[in-house]
Amino acid sequence: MKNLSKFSPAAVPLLALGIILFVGTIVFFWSSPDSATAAAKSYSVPNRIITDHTNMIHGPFEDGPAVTRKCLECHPEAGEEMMSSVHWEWLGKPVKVHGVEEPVRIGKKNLINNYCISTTNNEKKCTACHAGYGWTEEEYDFSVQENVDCLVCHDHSGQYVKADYGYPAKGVDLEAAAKSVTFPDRNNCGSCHFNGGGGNGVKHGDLDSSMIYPTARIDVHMGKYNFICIDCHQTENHQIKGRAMGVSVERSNGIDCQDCHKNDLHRDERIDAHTDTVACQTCHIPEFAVDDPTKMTWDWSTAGQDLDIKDKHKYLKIKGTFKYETRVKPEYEWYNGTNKRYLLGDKMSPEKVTQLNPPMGDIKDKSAKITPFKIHRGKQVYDKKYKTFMAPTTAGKGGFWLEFNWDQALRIGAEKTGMPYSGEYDFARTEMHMRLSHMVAEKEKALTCQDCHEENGRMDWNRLGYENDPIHRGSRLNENYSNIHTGATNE
Amino acid sequence: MSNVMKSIGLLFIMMFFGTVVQAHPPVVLRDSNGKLVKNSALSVSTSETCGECHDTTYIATHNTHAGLNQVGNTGAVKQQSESDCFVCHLNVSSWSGDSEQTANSATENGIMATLVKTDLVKKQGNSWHWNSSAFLQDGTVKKEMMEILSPGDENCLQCHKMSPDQLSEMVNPELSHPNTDVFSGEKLNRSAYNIANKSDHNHSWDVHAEKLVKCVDCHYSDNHPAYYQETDLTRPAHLKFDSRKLSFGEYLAHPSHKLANAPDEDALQASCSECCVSCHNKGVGHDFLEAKEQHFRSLTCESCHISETYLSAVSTIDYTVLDLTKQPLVNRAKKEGTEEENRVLVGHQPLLLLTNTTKGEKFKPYRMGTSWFWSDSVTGKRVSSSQLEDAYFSNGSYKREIIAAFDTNQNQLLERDELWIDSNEKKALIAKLLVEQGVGTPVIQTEVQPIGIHHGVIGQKDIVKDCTECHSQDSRLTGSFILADFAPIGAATTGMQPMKHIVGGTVNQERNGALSFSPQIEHSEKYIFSAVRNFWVDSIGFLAFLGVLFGVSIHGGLRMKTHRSHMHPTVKMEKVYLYKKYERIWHWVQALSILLFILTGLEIHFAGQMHVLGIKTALDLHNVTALVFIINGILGLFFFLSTGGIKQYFPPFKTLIPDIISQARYYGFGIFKGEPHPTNKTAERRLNSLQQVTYLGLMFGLIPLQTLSGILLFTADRWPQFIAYFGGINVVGPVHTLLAWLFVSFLVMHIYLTTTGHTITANMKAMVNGWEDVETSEKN
Repeated sequence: MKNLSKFSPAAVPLLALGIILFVGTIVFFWSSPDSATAAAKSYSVPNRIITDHTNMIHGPFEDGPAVTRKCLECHPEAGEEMMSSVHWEWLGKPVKVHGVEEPVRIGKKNLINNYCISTTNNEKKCTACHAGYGWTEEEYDFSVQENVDCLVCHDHSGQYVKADYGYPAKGVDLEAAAKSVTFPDRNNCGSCHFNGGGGNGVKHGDLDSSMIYPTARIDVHMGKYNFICIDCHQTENHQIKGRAMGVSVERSNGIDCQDCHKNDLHRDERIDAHTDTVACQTCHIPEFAVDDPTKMTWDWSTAGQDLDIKDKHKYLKIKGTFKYETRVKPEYEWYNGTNKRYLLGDKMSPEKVTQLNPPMGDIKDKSAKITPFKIHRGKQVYDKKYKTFMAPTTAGKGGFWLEFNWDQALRIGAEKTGMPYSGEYDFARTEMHMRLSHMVAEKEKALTCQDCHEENGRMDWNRLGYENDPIHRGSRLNENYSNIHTGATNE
Repeated sequence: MSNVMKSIGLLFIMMFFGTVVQAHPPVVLRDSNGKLVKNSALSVSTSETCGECHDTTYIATHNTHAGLNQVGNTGAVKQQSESDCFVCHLNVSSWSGDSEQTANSATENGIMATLVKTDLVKKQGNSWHWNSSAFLQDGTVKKEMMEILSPGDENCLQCHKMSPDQLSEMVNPELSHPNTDVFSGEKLNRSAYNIANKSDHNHSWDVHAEKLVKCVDCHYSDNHPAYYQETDLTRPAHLKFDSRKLSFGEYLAHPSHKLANAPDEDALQASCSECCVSCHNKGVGHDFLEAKEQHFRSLTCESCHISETYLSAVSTIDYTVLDLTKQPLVNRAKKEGTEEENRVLVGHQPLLLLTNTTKGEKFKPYRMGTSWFWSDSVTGKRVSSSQLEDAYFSNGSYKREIIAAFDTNQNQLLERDELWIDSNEKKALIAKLLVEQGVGTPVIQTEVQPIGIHHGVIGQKDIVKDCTECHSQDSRLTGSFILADFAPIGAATTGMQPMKHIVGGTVNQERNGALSFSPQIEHSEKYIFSAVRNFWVDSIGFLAFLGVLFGVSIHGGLRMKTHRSHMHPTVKMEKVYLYKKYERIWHWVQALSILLFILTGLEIHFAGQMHVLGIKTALDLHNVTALVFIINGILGLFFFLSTGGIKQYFPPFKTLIPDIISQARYYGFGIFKGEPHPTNKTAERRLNSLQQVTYLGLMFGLIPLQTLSGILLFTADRWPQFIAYFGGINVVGPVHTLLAWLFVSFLVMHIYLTTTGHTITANMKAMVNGWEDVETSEKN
């Protein structure tokens, strides 16, 4: 009896501990953690496992494919994986293109844009950015794994450069490059993607060499949080996530801001109410080409003339007239993640501006959001009789850049692409939409209410399909909404 | 016929779209004779022109801006007989910018001059002409020549310049304190102003401006049918919205120009105590706040939502001296800081002063403007500026005796820091000079003017939520603050006028000449814990604690000293099971609770000086502990009642007094001599009479009182009527504190007395394992 009722002295601290835990738990759950802090936890940059290849690889290597053979010794699956990648094939999977019955494969290989127009027969220069070696004007065998260029993405020696037909440039130390391989960083991706269209910043507007080592002012992810491309463009088995509107027309393989960020983290109900209608980029990319200029217009019709303009950023005999701009305000349109695409052979109207890849969606499309674009305005060559845009040969043999003869360049190009050519040509206006997702500004610089909702704000409400500023008449999501233009808006 | 119908239909459609684009119909400008100005070449008359459709008499008598019919912001006033509608209703981009010229010319040309920047009027030399090409044949102004609108921000800002790029002095020369309320949607960290810690301020100057709320969206016409809302005073409770509104036609004919939420001279400080909630739902977004309702009752929205004014305002104007340009000395408020900080603009937290509002006493943000001036104590009139100029200057330079008196560094020049009246000699000199100018008895008067701050509102996500800003010894609500680093001698004592609407406070002059203001809120109904402490409660409580501590120290010291010489007489010892398991658990839970109470209570009471958990966590823990304590108390009471253990606490009444005396005698004398305890502990009676009396006091006095006061304080937020019954927080709060001090004192005594058992630790062990060696005597 005595022993049973004896209370061990050790129980006192235990009891105390129990009460503290009890009270502590209540207090802990009493206050809920800040949601912003919780969201930030998902931003962690992965710890990459880096295998030092310095002592694994020994040269010398006589050419690029020799390096690739060495890579394939240990990474045999990599070759196979690359065979079906867009970086190798320059063609996507079969997709439904607006206006075409059957799914088709489209990509850099068979599309035209309003920069250098077409890669066909211009491989000499264009395939310098192909993830392979030796893609020439001749038929190219896409099944030869040893022609894959591993180094362009994995080199860290800093001296690996590709030249004509994708071969390594003269003087490149292949052994040093091979020993340096690791994950792709901003330099690797940027060697092609910062120079798309033939030079720094030409094509995208939100991608240029200022992003190799950007400050937070240029891009908050890369500059402030030290992201590299593959942190968002996550890659498994050499299949890289991401898509561009120039070559891809539908939503698959895309990256969304919401993959990492919550939609409603603004701590402001009014701003959160925008996220069903306005893409994140609209407010968070207030301007593009932050430091380096980007090409906004390109008029091929003046090419070949001996104009007295020395500034190569304004005129080049081989390319025509351009206009570069810095710190450009985007243009805004509805975009539901899909777009139309002009295919070679499609009819065009010379008097109209032809949209090569117009975004789909309008104010009535609930899945569409107001999205910022760089719109590149071009003037390029078409066949007057057949009313189709043409793919001239420029860099290739007998091409325009060598002989400045449009007729000959078009004739050779037509043969190669299988297009009819009447012998009569002229120039017509085209527009290309480049969706902006990079050069995300720091949150302090995001657009505020006035930027769009004040008089002369950024938004052209009528063009977007609103009767007037929705701040007065309510959003398109309101039930009794009467603020929508009845006319079609987004052609 | 059908064509006519079609035209009529078309007309209606056009009228409809006309209202959509809000265009004012074209205007026929007429002079005061009702003739077309185009023909008469006279100035335009608004009562003849605007009065054609709008009731200008009604507008003139229902007008916030009535009596301010002046043009421009230079103070060149021409009292016109009619309102100048164009100042507010003309698209201002067409004329703003040359207000001085406008003002000067207005004296001759009246309202016509307001149109100076439109192409309607031309100025040739000193004469003004109408531009005949701006008019149609019938005298109508061509549509593109004149755009009439509901007032835009630009119209208001012509006089009320509040955006940072236009910041300048307010128009009202009597106020004379440049306004630092900034109404702009620009973010501070992107502003061109060099504001301290700019990058931290990722918010706009004013959240309403940021969200495109225009001036007239808050300061709307008070009979505007879209805004007009019957007040709670007359609106039946069952009615949320009264749809019987003025028709728009009626409104346009008689638009009241009394603006909502505008400062009313009589109720300058009181008008806007609740205007935020006419748009905002204060129930949203405040859940982080402990005692939410309590805060709503004590603070206006602006108290928290105007957290800082970032530009330095004029703090003092000294009209008692004149600088070389014959202007008074103006000082801007300067925050003390390092040299580094002084190179940038350092913001000020507004002063939160307790104010009488329509909803009771509430804290509101203010800036203080202090001025000193000479006045004639006989007539009570202020000395005019020309009299003062003549007193200081002769022939455009300072008088000799002025330089002799003020020039402390002997360089024959009067610098800014020499120009003040800091001695009776200087004061007497100026007074003498003023008497020469015909002033009867010149005295220096002080005016301290609290200026309410209403703009510069910050959204909830950008507010720093730090309880200790108000709940600490250095509370913003109670601390005194410097009005002026320097004030003329005797400024605080002469001619102070009471401050309108401010509940209490005194102005004092410090030894170094500085003038300070001490708010007095002790006499109000506000009890701001950890900021307002009752001096007597804390003193008595602390003395009680110290007294007990001192007493037990002496007693313990004596015991230690006498312990060796007086050994316990050999007494028979017996092991007794004194405390059941439940009693012991109950005791230790209670002990831990009280310990937590004291620790968290100390942090709450001395927030700011003591930081362990943070005041909010401490408060949460305090409340949770209360829950544990009360449940444990109720269970204990149930146990003692049901088991009869309660009898332990009732001393035998007959022998109560002798028992207490013998027990007291034991503690006072016997214990030092090693005498046996006068009462022997048994399982049936383990407490001596003194203990029993004390515990009865605890059980039926201290604990219920403290619990009650605690519950009242806890429920004061939601059910303030309960605590009001007991005298309000400012009575119950100090009581809770006083009782807490008594608890602390009891705890010290209690712990000490546990050492007075058979051995030092005998009692303590008993409370742990239940068994104690107790003395037995022959008696038992």
